[in-house]
Amino acid sequence: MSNLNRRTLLKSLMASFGGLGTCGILPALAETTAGTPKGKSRHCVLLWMNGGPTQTDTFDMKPEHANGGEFKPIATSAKGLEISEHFPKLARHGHQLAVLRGLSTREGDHGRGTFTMHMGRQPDPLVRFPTLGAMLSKELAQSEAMLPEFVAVNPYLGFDATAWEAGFLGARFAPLTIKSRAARQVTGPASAAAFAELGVDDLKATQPVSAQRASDRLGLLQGFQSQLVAESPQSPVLAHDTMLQRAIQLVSSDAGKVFDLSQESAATREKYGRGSFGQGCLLARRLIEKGVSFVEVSLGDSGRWDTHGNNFATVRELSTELDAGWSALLDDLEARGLLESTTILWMGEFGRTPKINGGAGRDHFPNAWSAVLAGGGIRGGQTYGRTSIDGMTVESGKMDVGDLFATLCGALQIDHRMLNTSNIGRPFRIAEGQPVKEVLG
Amino acid sequence: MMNNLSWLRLVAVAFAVLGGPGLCRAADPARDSASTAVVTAQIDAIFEQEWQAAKVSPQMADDAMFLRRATLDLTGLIPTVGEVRGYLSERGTPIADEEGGASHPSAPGVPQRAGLTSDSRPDKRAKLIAELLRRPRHARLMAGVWRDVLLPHNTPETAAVAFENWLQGRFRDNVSYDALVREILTAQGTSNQSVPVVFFASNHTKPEELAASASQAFLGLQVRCAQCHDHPFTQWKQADFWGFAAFFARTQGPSNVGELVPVADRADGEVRHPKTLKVLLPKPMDGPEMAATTSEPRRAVLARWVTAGENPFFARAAVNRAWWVLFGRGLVQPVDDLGPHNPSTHEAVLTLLANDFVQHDFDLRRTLEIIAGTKAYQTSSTPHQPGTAADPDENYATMAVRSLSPQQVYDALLQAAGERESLERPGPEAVAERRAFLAQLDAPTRQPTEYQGGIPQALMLLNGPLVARLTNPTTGDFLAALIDSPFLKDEQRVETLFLATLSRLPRLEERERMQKLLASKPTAAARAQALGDLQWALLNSTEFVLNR
Repeated sequence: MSNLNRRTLLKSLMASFGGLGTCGILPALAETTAGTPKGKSRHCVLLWMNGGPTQTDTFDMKPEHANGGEFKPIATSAKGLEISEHFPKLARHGHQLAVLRGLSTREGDHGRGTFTMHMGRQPDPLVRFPTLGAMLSKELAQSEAMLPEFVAVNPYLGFDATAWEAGFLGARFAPLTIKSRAARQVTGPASAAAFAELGVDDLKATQPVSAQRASDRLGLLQGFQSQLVAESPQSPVLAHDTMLQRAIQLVSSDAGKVFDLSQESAATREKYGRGSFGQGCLLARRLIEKGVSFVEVSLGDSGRWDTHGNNFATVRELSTELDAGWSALLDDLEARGLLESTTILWMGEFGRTPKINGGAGRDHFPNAWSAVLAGGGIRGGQTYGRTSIDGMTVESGKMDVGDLFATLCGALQIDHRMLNTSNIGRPFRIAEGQPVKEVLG
Repeated sequence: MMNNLSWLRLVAVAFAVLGGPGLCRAADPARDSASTAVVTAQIDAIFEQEWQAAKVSPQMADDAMFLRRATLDLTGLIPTVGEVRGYLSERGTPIADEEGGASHPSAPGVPQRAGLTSDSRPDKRAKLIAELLRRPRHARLMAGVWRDVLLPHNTPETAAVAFENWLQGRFRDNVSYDALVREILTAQGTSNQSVPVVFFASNHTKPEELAASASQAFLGLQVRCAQCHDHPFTQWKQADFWGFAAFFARTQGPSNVGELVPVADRADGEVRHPKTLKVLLPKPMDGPEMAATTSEPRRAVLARWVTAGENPFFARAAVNRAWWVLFGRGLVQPVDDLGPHNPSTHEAVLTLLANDFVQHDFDLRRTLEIIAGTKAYQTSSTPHQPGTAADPDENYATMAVRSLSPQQVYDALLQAAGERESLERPGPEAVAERRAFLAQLDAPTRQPTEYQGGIPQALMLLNGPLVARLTNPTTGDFLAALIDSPFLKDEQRVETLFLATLSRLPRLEERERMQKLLASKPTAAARAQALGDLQWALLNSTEFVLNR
């Protein structure tokens, strides 16, 4: 929606509420104004594993080799596809998963790996690359959306904060980031305490504001806005105005209720898992129901997947969290008929050494590792790519990050060769790579 | 409602509103303003020629817009109410050849709009610029800019803050820029003994990281790509990169910030070309290899070459950065990618500034004073012809609008609400509040032409506790004092709120709208509330968070 349209809408909304109830800045608006997804919209969920998840103990198990470690593989709903025993619920969705076992990338440092697996390229000091969510939500966005097109749940910015930037695409495509409320944060696996508190702060006014005052305030503000935009339509003015209008929409309508997970039953919340990842997956489902294009949910605050030591106990915990959240997300999307239009990508910044180190841990390993695609546009129930018996090398189906992104684009029916003009004037494709046709459904 | 502090506030507001004596600026000490004015005029001539050729007649910013812009760019803060009132009422001293003088030629056929507006004389702005450059806040701003240039973004905060404080002292004393750079490049000892060694520690004392960082920061050369291969777009070869890195091959020091290993020069240590494996002697980017025989530490040779007046990159990189500080973009853009592959939009201006910088002892303040005095810096940000391109043009006929950084937004909020104490000497509560505010915006973009805060910050301003406190007549100190001042009419209260936030007087229609709103309120309390609502709207407006 253009700025002007948005402003017109806002004005008509403002004109229509005079004297109604009191909540937030504006009274509640009809539910129908919240983003209603259009028929053919597509969505993407990135399940981001912070710290670099071990492929050997999750999706590319090596039971025949000493490198395999403690965990056993189990069968899934897809014949021949085996995954870790700590994914019993996900195993029921095997027919929806395409496990890519031939990932081979070049960055074994957390910062550079986080950057590369979000931008699809290595860092270049001159170019401010946009993150995957910005690039894809730009293509997928529905123009009527009331909500931001790109939401990132609990990103850990310590490795490389720029990995979540909209870069040269501009602030318009920057994510709305949602963090666990520190006060009641539950980051670990299901705890006896409570559900992780995710939410957007300040959706409601700190001090109560009457409808009359809300109207006064907003009227004054919009007066300043329309005057400035008409007089000085330079891009920073428009960018800030766009962002401000979106924030006003969020606080003035029901749209913000999507962030209120307490509207879900305790049983549903329990099913997803109590931690910030499980609750993040639940939020992702709610956002996709409202038409949001791209949701990124992180698992492993401050790099818990970085299991240089005590690998197995940590990965068991993380797997249990992952299993609950991911499988519940697949269940619910399927039940709502949204799975065929929603593609899910699971990955981290790199894999981990197949060889177990002296501290029962695994170290950084970008040479041969795994990612998983699931849902819409994906031919599930298969593995693509194969590593050697010790897991050290890719023997077939080698993919770089560009191929992975191009394949994801294929599933979302986006042309990965789409060009965006960068800050230095050079155009860049969404992904520099080739889609793997075998993986696409 | 009045506690014992209220009287003080009342007096402060009285001065702020009426422009009391405490806010008058002291007379400027003699500065070489005549000689900066000559360079400024030379730059003006270049742009005026360009504007004539393009048949544009830029409008100049009015005094209010200029004051806010210059105060933000040179001190990082918005002006106080008292400063705005003082500046708007101050009369400039006439100078002899103001109209039609040699430095301001009028363009035939072009309407006479390029001159400064009638309420302002050139020396009024020059005086302001000189005064802003001497404020402690200016040193703080420059320290922040150079900290970002010199240290990688992931440098631990304690070390980075120590480094920034050290820089602030250097900028406060206006140490010449070449001396500052030599001090950094030849730093010795541990970070406890000598703060500038943080530059080495944060680059892990690795020759290749130091080479990339030093060439980018001090020479404006992007040579990182040449670390692994010949640069695809520039003249730099892999051998150039590693030849430059060889200057740091004999530097030993901490491999991480926090290690108390002293930075020192060793007698041995080499770098090799990664492909040919040949040992490379130190070699400046534009010159022959250093003689193998010299016993002088390599870093000392490097520091001398980098900061030499003849160095073709050093001064240009510095003045380009100074231009960027004032315009949000460089004469060469990106600001740290100079070289033949990336020509300047205004080579003559860049050369002029660089030569002047070398001739005047690498005095950055002087360069900033020259640039801030130019007409290009004083153009209005309102597009000069309705319906023309909205984005900044190459010929600087319309000032580019920039976004305040999140830190600046927070500081501006406190400044606008008269919370000087939390701004200058923040107690633990103010520090915590600042941290909570800045924590809302975790995806940093450093582009000044982009709004950096995002939706969470907008929500925080719309609904959050800080703005709610400031704009509530019972908790907002400034607002409360304004309302309690018996000598003020509502009209003056409205005016003061505009001056405090947008640094300008309200326009007629804005006054009328507020008058209407206030007239509709039956009680004094409701009118007080309406003033708070005006302040809320002003603080949330796009105009407040932009530098125009």
